[in-house]
Amino acid sequence: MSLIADFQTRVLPVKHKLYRFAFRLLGNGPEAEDVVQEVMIKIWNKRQEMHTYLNMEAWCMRLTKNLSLDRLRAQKRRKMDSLPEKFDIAATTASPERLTETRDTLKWVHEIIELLPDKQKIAIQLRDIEGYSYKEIAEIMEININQVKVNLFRARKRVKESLLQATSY
Amino acid sequence: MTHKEIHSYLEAFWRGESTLEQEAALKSYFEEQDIPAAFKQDQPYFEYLLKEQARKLNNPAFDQKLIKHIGGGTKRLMWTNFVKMAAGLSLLIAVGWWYQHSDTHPEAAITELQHLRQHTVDADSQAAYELAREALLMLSKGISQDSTQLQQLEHLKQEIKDFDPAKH
Repeated sequence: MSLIADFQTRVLPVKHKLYRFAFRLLGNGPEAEDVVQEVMIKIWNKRQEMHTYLNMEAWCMRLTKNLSLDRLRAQKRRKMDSLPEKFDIAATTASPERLTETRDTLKWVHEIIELLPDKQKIAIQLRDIEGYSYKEIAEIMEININQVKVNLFRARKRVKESLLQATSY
Repeated sequence: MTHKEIHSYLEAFWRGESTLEQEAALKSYFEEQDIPAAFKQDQPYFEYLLKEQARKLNNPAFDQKLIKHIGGGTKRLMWTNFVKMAAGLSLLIAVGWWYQHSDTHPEAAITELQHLRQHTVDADSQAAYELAREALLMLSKGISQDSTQLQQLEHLKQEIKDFDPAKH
């Protein structure tokens, strides 16, 4: 198999996960897409090492995390984009009242997660959205499994507390 | 799934002790429209997770642009390597011929060969091309008898002439 074919088979299909991950950290679509492209080019430039990585996806995710955090640090900002264009609410079949309510609720959950520390935010993205194992998350985050569990527990606890507060009003 | 199972999975989830299978089961459960009141407070979070899972990089030109970028890089690299090899070969022939037919001291010829080889290795394709062209011009002026060498060199010269750096 040629290197380009190998790249198309093993690396390119991960682009959506990389995009979601970069988007979680950067909160901005075009910037997230730039990061994905940068990651892909970096991987291509190291194509001779591709066969040495057993978990290619984890390697891609780790690069995405590092590049996104680098950008965040450089820009010293965090965007809180408006949600209407991020969610395809119109594709659902619920009533208009329910749609408004859903959009508000989703926006609110999004904001709760946005306010979490980066490590907790990453833990939620990798476990609750992408469904990675603790071992894979530890590899991507470059921390040990116990630290992954602690970050995830704290993140979920914060979300749960917010949900309880909201329903108590 | 039963009400009891959902309750138990949710308890484990919020304690951070659920398995991937239990988490997948919860996500499927919350995709349903009618969620009992007991689990309503958990619903927004799972709805949010499902929406986020569906997010995609929606740029149809992304793959094509990327493949063009990396594919172009490969072609450039192959051409550069070819030019460097051709330049190196022609220099070796040129210096070999020069060594055999000139009155230069052998040590001076070896030094010159090392110098030229280093240039060839270090140079980029444009520099290698210029170096090879100069060597061939010099050599073709000097060669008048050896038809075999001349044929080989003419062939190499033609290949290098055909190379247009502006196109690569």
